[in-house]
Amino acid sequence: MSEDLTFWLSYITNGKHLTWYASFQFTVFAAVFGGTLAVVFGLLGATLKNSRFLPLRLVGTVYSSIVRGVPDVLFFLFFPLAFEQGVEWIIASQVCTPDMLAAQSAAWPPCKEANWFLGTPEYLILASVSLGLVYGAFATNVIHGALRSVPKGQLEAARAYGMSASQLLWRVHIRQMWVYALPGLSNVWMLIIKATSLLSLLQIADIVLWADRLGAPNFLPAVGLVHEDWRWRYYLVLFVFYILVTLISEKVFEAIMRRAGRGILSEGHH
Amino acid sequence: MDRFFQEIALFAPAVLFNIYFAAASIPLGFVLAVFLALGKASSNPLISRLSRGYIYAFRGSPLFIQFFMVYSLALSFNIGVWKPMGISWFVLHPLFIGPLVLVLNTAAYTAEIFYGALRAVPRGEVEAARAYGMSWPQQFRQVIWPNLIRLAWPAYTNEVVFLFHATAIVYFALPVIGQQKDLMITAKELFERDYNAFLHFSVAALYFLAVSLVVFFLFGLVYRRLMRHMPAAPGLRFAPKWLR
Repeated sequence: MSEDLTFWLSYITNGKHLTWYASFQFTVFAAVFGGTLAVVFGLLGATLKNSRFLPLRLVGTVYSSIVRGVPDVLFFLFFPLAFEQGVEWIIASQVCTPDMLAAQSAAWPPCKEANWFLGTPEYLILASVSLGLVYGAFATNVIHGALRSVPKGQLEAARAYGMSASQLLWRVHIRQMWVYALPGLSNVWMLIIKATSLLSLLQIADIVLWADRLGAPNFLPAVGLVHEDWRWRYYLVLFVFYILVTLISEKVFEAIMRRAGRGILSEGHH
Repeated sequence: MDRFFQEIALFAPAVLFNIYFAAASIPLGFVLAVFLALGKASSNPLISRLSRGYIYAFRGSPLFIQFFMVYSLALSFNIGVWKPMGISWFVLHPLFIGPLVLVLNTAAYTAEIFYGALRAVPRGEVEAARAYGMSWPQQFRQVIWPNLIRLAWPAYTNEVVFLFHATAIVYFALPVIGQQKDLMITAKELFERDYNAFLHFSVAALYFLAVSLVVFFLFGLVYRRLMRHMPAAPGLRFAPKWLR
């Protein structure tokens, strides 16, 4: 029994497993950074949508409806690839000489010198920005709706006190908006958490990729077959991990909503 | 422009795979969802807990992980079960596993929608049915179900569109066999050939948008029919909530 225990202890703390545990940082980073950006883009999008200037209003509306109208994976993959190409194109227009262009046989980049190598950190940041853009479109809608839910009387009162438009926006409108936006933003956060499982599509060695590697049939010449195909066990762990994260997020958001809703009468609070 | 039309033709066979995945999983997911919703509302604590747990688990975890989990589980049974039975070519085929996982997933989301609608069925109507001496199956068929489906239909339409969007990740988790490629795999492979991200991904996006609009249209027709007894049918909101 105790031998078994030591075996399992050493198995789940071997080098590969430690790397797996460490790779959770990518998921957490992408969720937190992506979530923050989503709120920022959401505020920006909602401001655009509320703008008095028609083209800006159009930009906000088009952003939120187009991005929500296509699958999140599509935009999640498209943005980093397109951004990388855009940067390479700019570099190429500065660096490449006709000789270099002639020497390049591949379709992209225009010349070898314009190649922009992306490692895990760069891809992680691009992936987070991508998540922020996609779910910022959802947040735009949520915040836009919340801005309209703030009681008119509050804004009129602020105006009556002689607040300027920007004072009104920042001191009253956006502050009171959060209570109405929180339920929707909590939904967006759950979507972001679930979307962090897609990081491996951008060549980031995240928890999903490591679960696949660790679970694959493991054969060592010295000991023989260590274990057969155990991938489903590792994926089951991730399945439970995500459910737990959702559960905890739900509780945290409930607490925040209770706190933010103090002193405000609404159907949600009895 | 010519290139653009060629590209659209190139993607036409691919969209059929996405449509297949969605169409194959919608009916079964629908039926399973009705049972799960009734289960969640059941007074039997065991059935209620189980349905509740199932719905929570499949709504609270990424579809991507669910694909990997079910597929690797099916793989691990391969040598012991599927091979001796001679059905491993079928069970492990993406065209089977794909809809299977999508059914499991959409059933949970749909069940939550139906559960919400079930709780919104007017109490008075159910009480009236009981006063008429209707048995439970009669109550369900005559009173609860017609109310439920009308209440749930707009949200269910959203769920179907979302399911269609979710078919985009099927082939990222399952093996691509031969020329059986969906929109995303086609876009990705074309991109890897000539690195024209803007063209390929926007054509794929256009296809997703187009099919979504068709779904909204068709489901809108059904909604109109469901609501035909109403004096002025409340139109299906065209700009739906895309959240779930």
